[in-house]
Amino acid sequence: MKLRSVLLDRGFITALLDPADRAHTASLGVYGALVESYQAGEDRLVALSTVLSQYPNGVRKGALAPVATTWVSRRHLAVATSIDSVRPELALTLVMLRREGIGAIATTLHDFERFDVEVLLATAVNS
Amino acid sequence: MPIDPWYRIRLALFASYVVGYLWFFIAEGLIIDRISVAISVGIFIVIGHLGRPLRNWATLTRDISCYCVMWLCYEQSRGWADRAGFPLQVEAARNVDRFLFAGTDPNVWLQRRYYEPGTIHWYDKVASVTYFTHFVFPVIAIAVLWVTDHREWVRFIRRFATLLFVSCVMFVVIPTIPPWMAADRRKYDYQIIAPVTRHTARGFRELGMKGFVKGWQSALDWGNAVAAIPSLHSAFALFVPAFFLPRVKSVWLKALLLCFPVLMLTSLVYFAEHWVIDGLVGFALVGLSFWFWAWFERRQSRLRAESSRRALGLPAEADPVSV
Repeated sequence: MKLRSVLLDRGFITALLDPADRAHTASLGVYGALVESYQAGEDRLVALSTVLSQYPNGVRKGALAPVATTWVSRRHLAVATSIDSVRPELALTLVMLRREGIGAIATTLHDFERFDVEVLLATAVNS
Repeated sequence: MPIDPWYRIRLALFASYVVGYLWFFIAEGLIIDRISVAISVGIFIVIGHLGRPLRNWATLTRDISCYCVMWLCYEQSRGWADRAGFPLQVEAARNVDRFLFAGTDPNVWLQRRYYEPGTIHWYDKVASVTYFTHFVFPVIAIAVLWVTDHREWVRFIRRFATLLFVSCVMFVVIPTIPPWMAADRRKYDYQIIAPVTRHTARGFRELGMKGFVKGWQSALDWGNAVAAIPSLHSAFALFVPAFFLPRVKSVWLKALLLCFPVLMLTSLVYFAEHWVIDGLVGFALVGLSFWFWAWFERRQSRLRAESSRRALGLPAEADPVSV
């Protein structure tokens, strides 16, 4: 059985950790199911080092304990910067998805739906 | 999305590597000494890391150090076995085999039925090739995982290192003579089973693998001759298929893969390289290593998941949200 790698993007993690965020409840639902499948050995949860570095160790070892770090290098950043057609944050995420062979993304944005990646969407019900 | 320019370079170099390796194999035989194997694996891995970020190289350096320490400890265990001076087990393994096979010596039985000194049958070649895979399959698995999936490599090497460690302890604590030594009339004086021949290399010679035979015989001269229990040949023959088994979907292919360790053990017994119990202990150690690490990894996942649920106030059993 091959593990599915799921990248949690910046917006998803922000919504997950911020109870005031409009997508908080939806992201909690998606994350709960992801944690379940992580525990069952079906999913591998990852997030970019540029995103995780913003959170203190307590959060990373608590709420984000199952999430492994995918390291962003200068080369990745350089490639992302060279992509003009999308905004930088989205470009970096796309570069990392491609280079690290990650097949799914948990996000609060619809932007990824036009790319070849499985999208686990967590949006506010009335958004 | 720009394509990684190093991707094509790596592919081209991998192709050159495979061609060069095959050429060397045909011309000189298989590489089996540890240094040459380490160099060839090292080249393969360096190719796989070309163009990767510096952090990957740092991880690679750490991994290589651990890998080298593992094999150095394994090599050193031969010296430790000599110095430790634990009593040599002469009859124990034979007695267990006789108990398992109702008084028959499986090595002797197989050779009396199938071994003909002047003739090399098809099954001699099959047995030789099976024996020879011991020097290839684990190394290929380690090298490929190293390059393609580091997380899986860590899972593999944890189990592998545990198996090697426990085996080395057993080599030191219970040095055991193999069947060919137990039957040897010229060099040793045990003679606890009827005469058997250690004819492992006949199939290789018939297949034209003379380079391998030369290297293998030299390796035997340096090896620990009384390291019969456990049989690492049998253990590795189970280890590699068992690791990849969850990825195989076909039940028939799974069954076929699991026949391989049985074939390996039968070959070892036929060649008088090992007692049956050596192989069974090897299988058991593989099982224990896999069980222990599966338990440990499940525990780690459970603890992390619980920590996450606690922090976010999620219920212990997640809501059935479809993702």
